[in-house]
Amino acid sequence: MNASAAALRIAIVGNPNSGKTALFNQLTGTRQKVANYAGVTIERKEGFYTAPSGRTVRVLDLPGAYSLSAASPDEAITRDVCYGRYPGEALPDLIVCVADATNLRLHLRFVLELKRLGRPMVLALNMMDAAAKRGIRIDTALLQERLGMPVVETIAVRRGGTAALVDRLDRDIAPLDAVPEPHDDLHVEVRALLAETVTAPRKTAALDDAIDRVVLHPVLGLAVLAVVMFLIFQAVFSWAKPVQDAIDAGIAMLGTGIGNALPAGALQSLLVDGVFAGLGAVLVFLPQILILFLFILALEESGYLPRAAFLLDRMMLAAGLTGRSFIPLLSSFACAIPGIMATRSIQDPRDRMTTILVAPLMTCSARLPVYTLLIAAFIPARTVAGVFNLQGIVLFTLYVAGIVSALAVAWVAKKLNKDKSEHALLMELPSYRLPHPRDIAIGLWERAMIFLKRVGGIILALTVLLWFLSSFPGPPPGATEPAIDYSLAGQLGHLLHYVFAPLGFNWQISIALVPGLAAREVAVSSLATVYALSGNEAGLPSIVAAQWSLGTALALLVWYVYAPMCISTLATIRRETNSWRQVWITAGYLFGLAYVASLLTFQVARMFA
Amino acid sequence: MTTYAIVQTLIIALIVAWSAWYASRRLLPTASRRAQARVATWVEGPAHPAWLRRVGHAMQPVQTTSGGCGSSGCSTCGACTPSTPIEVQPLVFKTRAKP
Repeated sequence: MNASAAALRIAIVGNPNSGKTALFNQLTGTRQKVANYAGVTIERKEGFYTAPSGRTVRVLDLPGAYSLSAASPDEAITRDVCYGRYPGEALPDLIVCVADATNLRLHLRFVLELKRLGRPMVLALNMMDAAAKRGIRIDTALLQERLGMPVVETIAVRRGGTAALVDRLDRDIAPLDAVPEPHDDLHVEVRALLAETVTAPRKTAALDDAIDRVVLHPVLGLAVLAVVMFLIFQAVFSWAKPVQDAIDAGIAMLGTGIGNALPAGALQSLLVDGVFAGLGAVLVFLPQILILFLFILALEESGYLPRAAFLLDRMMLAAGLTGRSFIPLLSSFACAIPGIMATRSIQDPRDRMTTILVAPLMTCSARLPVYTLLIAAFIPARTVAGVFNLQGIVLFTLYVAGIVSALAVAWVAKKLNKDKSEHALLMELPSYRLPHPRDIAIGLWERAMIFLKRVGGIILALTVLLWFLSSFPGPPPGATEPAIDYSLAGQLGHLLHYVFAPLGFNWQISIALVPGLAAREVAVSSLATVYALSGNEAGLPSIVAAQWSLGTALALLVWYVYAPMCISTLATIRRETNSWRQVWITAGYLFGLAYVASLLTFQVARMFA
Repeated sequence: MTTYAIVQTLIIALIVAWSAWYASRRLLPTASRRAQARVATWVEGPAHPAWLRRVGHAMQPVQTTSGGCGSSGCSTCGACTPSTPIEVQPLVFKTRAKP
């Protein structure tokens, strides 16, 4: 091959969780999401690298598939690209099939199926380090001879672990002999190949079996899961405080400095009451979001999450979901959008629809600022039973409320569907892996950047717009009320107050709910801006604690457990279901639940007050 | 009106205009692109001088694929890829075969 030749188009395919995306990242230098469970990649991803010969190589990373007989929408993408039937995508010049060297019993079947396409193909035996640790020995030369295709050893998670593959791809690779009619049993062929080329002391890792005896135990396993989740929320409150205080003090100092430097007027108000009060109120939650994601990233890398799915399968089945819904629902804890998109790995359309319906009930990270603001203002930072942080317990309860509500809604959907068929969960349990500190650090860095970009982008834009609407038109001559009462936002807030008063929401909260539709955290920055323009000098937590009743705070917390407060999520539901009806159903039931639950919460709290 | 007041008004107008444009681009991408194209087409009209037509041409929105994840309000999860077109995978219902 020479530098002047056209770009080589290669497609990375293989079973789920074989390390395709890690290989893709290693080849192209990108940072696509990787995790230790099946179904992380649900779309094709494209990247480029320059081979040592100077030739450009275009790399396609495809969703994992067990077979070319696609069972789910993500597998269909892989099938269509391999057959050259994917719209706008030419048949790849070369297929790089990635197989987990520790699990060839499963992965070689797909290799043989792909081989029958007769396309030029290379087999990348990935995770060779893990295989060596488990004493698995693979005669690569013999395997290459038997398969009739180049076989290259790789360690996709290690720097330089794909050098041999890059070198091999830079040389010509001949097409294989096409076998149009597969008559013989692929499993028989796999067994014969393994007998000849692989020696392994045991089928599974001894450590995995030992850990699984505890974490997959029907009782002990659930206790471990509850403890893990509980500890995460304890840490969110216990560890973040010092950093939050430092950020808060820094922002306050900067705001005061700029406020003093500018003459009194609209520009000073925009910067102090709008930008610094609004964005500052959201920015202080960065440490808590990072702590939450530290645990999520560590769990994703460890291989524990599919076990949790397995444990919860029975419970989810009773509620009308399956264990397959677990990963999409878990993704929804970060954001409902990738969660809804991850439902593509669910084969049954009704299971997929139910999962989409309940995904917005999972507590996304955008809710965290609202929750922690109200918890910090109303729940004392007391220690319970000598160890537990009371605020952490309340946060944990809110997350559990979201999960329980999702199960309840799924159960109702199942009853309405009249679908009594059961869908067995078939899920691959990956080997446990110690989370790599570098990967976790990169993940956290990216998470922080995403949050900061969001603060500096959509949250800033909406805060400025809200400041504008809260400042204009100005008060008439001789006005006695605060200026905001006469502004457009003030008037809208008073109008919405009629709807939300039974829930205990004041007009300031009613205003904040509107921009909060774009992004939930904006509700916090909006409250900060509205109160700052109303002449309150104190920080938002102090204002909330002093001016709201406990019933109002609890009702707002409950509102955020259910409320359909995210336009982007609804847009994703429209795209994934191709139905406006589904969007209205989702928005309608979420709004109804939010209103009724908040109403009950406020009225009950008022009775006991 | 003092010079400071004029400068202040100009700065605020620019910041608010940017915020409105940014928010509409993120939350209503299709509608905002359509509006931008309409304005650009008008500015590009033959009745206008050449320099203004060039401005109109430059204002025409670039064709991109819009998607919810990353290119919309939400991007907290990190699983989104703003530069990659999002493939639609709508649900298709099929009648379940009776056992």
